[in-house]
Amino acid sequence: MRCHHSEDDLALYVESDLSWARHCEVEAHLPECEACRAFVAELRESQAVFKSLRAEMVSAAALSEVRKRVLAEVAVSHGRFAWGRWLYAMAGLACVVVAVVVARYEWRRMDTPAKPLVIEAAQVEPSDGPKPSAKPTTPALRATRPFQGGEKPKQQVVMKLLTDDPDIVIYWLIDQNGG
Amino acid sequence: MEQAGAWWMAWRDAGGEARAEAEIALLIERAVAGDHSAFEQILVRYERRVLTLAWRLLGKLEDAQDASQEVFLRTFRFLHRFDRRRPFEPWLVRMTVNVCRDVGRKRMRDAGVALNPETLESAPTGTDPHSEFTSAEDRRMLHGLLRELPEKERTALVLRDLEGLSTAEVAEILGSSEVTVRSQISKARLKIRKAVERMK
Repeated sequence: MRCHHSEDDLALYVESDLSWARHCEVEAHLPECEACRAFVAELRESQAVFKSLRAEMVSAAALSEVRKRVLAEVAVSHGRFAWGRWLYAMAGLACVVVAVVVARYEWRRMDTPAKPLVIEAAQVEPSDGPKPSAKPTTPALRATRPFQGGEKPKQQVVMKLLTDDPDIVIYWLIDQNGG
Repeated sequence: MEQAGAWWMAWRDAGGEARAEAEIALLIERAVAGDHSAFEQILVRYERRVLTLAWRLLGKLEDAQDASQEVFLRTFRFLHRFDRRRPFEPWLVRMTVNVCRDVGRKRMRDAGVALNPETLESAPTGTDPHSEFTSAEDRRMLHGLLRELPEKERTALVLRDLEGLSTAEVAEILGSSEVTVRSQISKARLKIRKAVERMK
């Protein structure tokens, strides 16, 4: 170009892609510049040729083929999706059933009173020495009976501790005088 | 983003296009709810636009068909993510451009295959003052030239000059500035001018 307007500007000018101010500048310049006018004319021509491609359209057969392929794929993926949805639903249901069964089992286990550690106590005469009580008594602990007043009887208490394991019984001899 | 939506809306004829947008919004809603016939209607409505754009961007009908198929499958998959307050067509055009970019890159090594004029339907050219330039051979050359343009220039030029979008809309779709898009368009137009001069 032999003037201050670049080819880029003119290429934008022919399709009104310049800013309004710039567009006006080019428009004012064109009557004075033969070279720019010729260049713009060439650009307009080439643009018209290029834009003739707009008239071209893809054939109905090409469109129909794409549509067929898309719909077939969509049907398959929809089937896959539906199957997947069922699978998820069944898995969810299975989880719920398992959770209910476990909760029920736990509930029942908690409802059944656990065999407590039974502590039995029996009074024995001090002279007799420790003697296990054969007859279990309840409530479990009677070793801490309130003191009734008067002189403390010199007695020994044997505590029998029953555990969950029937084979293990613990006897505990307690001297009530603080021994 | 809001501005771009406004541009699109302004670009359209208010009454008819608003109705069309309402219709498409309804179709989308039905398609998202699992109505296959609604999706098929969307497909029928936009297939020509998508395939033509893909073909212009890729220059090869087979590639364009593959790209269009991918565009509609993505549409089917991601339709629930589409913001229905916004116009649908720019979303679809953007997806088409992205898919074509992917396809084009994958097939970059493919030797340039000339377009098969048998697969094209041309509008009558009797009234076209430049019909002497638009023989099948010239069109083939133009398409060849379009393919030779750098990807970004080609996309900008196709969207602006063949699809008729404004530079602002093109910039929005390509995710670049208007200045960049103008630069790409002007470079591409100058190359086209040279090629047309050679064709004479």
